Amino acid sequence: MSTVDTAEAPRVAESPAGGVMRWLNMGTGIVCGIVLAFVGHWLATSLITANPDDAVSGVNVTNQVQIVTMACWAIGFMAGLGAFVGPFRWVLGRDNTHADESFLAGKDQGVWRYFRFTTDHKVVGIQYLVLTMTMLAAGGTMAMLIRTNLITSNSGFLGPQTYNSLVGLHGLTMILATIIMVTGPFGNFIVPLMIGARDMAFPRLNALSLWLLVAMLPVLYSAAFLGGIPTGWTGYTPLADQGPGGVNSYLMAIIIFAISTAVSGMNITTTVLSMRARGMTWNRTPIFVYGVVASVGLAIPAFPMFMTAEVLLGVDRGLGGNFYVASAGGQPWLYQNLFWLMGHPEVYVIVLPAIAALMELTTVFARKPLFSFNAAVLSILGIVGLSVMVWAHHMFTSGWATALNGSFMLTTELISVPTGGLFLVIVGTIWRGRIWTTLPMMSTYAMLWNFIIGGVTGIYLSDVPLDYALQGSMFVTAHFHYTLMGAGLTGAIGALAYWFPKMTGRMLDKTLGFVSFWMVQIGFNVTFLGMFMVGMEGQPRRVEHYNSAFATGNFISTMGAYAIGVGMLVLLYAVVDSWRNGERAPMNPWGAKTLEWTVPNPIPLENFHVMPVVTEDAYGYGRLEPRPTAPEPAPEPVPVGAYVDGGSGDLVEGPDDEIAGSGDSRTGTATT
Amino acid sequence: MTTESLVKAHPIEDAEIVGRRWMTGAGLLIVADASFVAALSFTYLYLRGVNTEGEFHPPKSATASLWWSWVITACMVAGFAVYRSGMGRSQQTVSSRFAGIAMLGVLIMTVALVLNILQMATFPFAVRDNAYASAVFVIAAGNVFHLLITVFTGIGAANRVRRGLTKGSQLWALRIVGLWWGWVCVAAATGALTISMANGIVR
Repeated sequence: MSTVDTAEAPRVAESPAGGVMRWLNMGTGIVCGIVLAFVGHWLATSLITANPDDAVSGVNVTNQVQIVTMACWAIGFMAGLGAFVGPFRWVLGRDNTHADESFLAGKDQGVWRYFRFTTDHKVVGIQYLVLTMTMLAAGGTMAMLIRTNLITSNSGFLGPQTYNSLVGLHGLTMILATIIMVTGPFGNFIVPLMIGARDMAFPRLNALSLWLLVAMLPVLYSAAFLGGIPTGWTGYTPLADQGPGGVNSYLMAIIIFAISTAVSGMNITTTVLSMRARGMTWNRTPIFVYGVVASVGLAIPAFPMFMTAEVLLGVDRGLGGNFYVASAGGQPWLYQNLFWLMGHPEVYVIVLPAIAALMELTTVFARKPLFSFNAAVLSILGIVGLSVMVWAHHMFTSGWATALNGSFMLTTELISVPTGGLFLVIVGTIWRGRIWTTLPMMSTYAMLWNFIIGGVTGIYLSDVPLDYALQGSMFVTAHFHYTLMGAGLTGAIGALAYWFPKMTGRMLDKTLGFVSFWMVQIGFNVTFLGMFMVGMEGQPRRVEHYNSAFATGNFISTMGAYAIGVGMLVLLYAVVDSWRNGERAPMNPWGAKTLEWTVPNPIPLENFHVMPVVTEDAYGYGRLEPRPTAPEPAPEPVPVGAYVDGGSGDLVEGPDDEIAGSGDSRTGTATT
Repeated sequence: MTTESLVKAHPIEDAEIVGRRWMTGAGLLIVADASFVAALSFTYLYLRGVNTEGEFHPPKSATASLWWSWVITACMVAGFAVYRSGMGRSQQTVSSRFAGIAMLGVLIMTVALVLNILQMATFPFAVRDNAYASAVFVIAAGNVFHLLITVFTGIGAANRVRRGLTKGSQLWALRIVGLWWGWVCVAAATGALTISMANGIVR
């Protein structure tokens, strides 16, 4: 007779959730990056030897070593962070468990989840926000130095080489920051919530796109120590072919940025195409989602062109290639074409999501439906379509294909039509609305003012004869600051003020916000209206000292720039202080109708207790609807046990109606 | 800022829905890569068309053998065909010997990779000779990059089927790998066609 051994078998210890990812973070990334950079540098220095023919052939060992070192830094950083763990585990067939995925999403990790390869889109959104603010602060500091140098006609504050490098670095920093400033923080944090999804389509790629940008920053700013970027942010050849080591930093930073942008663009587009809530047809999709998708959709084909231009530049600089060397059959026009094939869609990549965010919030603060949703969508599509047909207006004076100048002038002027369409949609939305004056709404007014000026001056520049006179002058600088900063950055600040309660759980300080707004906007207009004047009078851009005839205008511009700087510092203080100590935000302080305002603060890991079902569009603000005078109290969260079916997550009617459908009749809960 | 979730479980999505989503993402990545390939082709054709100072591909300068490019492309197409043959006609099933078939495809792609590297090592010119040489080098290097990813994904697909991780409703993963393999064949053919337009001499 046998007996059953009742002693329990010893439990096999389970490996902790997260596996190797438990040990990897930003710190290990930095260590691995530095180590691999040193190894790469040593290997390159040892193996690559100078050849007597190199000086003639253009091969530059220094460039090769620098490029290899930067690439090794980026690869090492990403490896140390754990970015490559996922693909290798896939190949090896060692899939993540649910506990691993939860660890990767940042569960139970507190603030440390912001320093890891965390996949939760809300964490990535906050990381993007901090990254963008850091880059804008760096670029803004450079702007203050540039304007200080220009305070008098020959101040000698910086010196020509340093000035040129700062201008290039400032331009590139700001361009990269403005590209990501709306789609990064808000495209990642808000869009999945807005469409009723639990996360992005590819959470790991989401984290990858963010951390690639973090890897990019040391590469970019190493330019300051390697001789600077003497070409301006455009990096034109043949000067870029011959420039100092800072150009290597420039091209490597762009290559990394282009990979990040392609990945994030694919992620956002797939998320919107395939993960919208049930019932969210395209007619019910918020206009902000259209703006973000249009932006990243443009970026997907455009940025590889930029990357190609820089790869070819790297071959020229490092291997003695001849893509841009005319004496060997190359052509600097090639660079300009590849660059501007990206460069013009890129400005719409910057502006479209910012304007779409302002369209979104204007309906809330005017308590009116969007003036014409279809016109807004068609305008966005028109801009996307035309933006790939205008690139050569940046090359009117280059001598390339002068016979085509007229055609590009026409397409450039045509693009003002859909742009004006967006403008009219916003104006029409405000018209006879019941305006609630808040900081986000003020940003809309500022954008309208700034974009009118920027847009009209763009019409002037699209005219070929006028462009011949104004090309390379401060007029151009003022124009693109009015569009990219006056509309783009203003829109981003409006979006931040609007979504701040949802992203941080706190209300942004109203007083400080308004102080910052007026300082920035007044300072901005003082700076750049004056710049139009000196530009028309003939002051060239990117020049360290200028004719004393322009002195008064430059002095005024510099004073305006200082006001912008102080205003931005006030905004930074407001953001940080409000985030830490601000009034706790209710679930829906603005009485808005989009889905992100139906989730409680703090937002649960998977966003929605019950997946929403959309039954109408998000702009059903009726004329008779009373304006909310006080923030709505947040309903009490309902624990799982209160569900009829015991908390399985099934879609049943119950007290969770108040969570899923608070403040509106837009969503319903599906019954099983 | 997130909190502990109160939802103990949420519905697992249907595998086909996940598969279609991944297919969309893969397609968009291919669009980005296609833009890169198109830019390289444009570079070659533009420089050839402009022929600045007659130095793009001067007379008596060395020319790449066109056979290499087309042999490599044919090799890649063969590898893709082998991989594809492991999938059922409807791509909803796989052969019981898929792992072996896929590894054969990986082997063929590896041969293509080796040939590609040999091609670059035996070019009758240096990258710095002229713009033609630079362009041909970069197009060939782009193909090496594609092949490295192809081999990596092929090994992963074969291993996952061998271990029983990818089967049944998970076959979308294999279709996506097949989509990439098909794309790199198109990219290789595009590069070969671009280079072939320099001259029609086949050595």
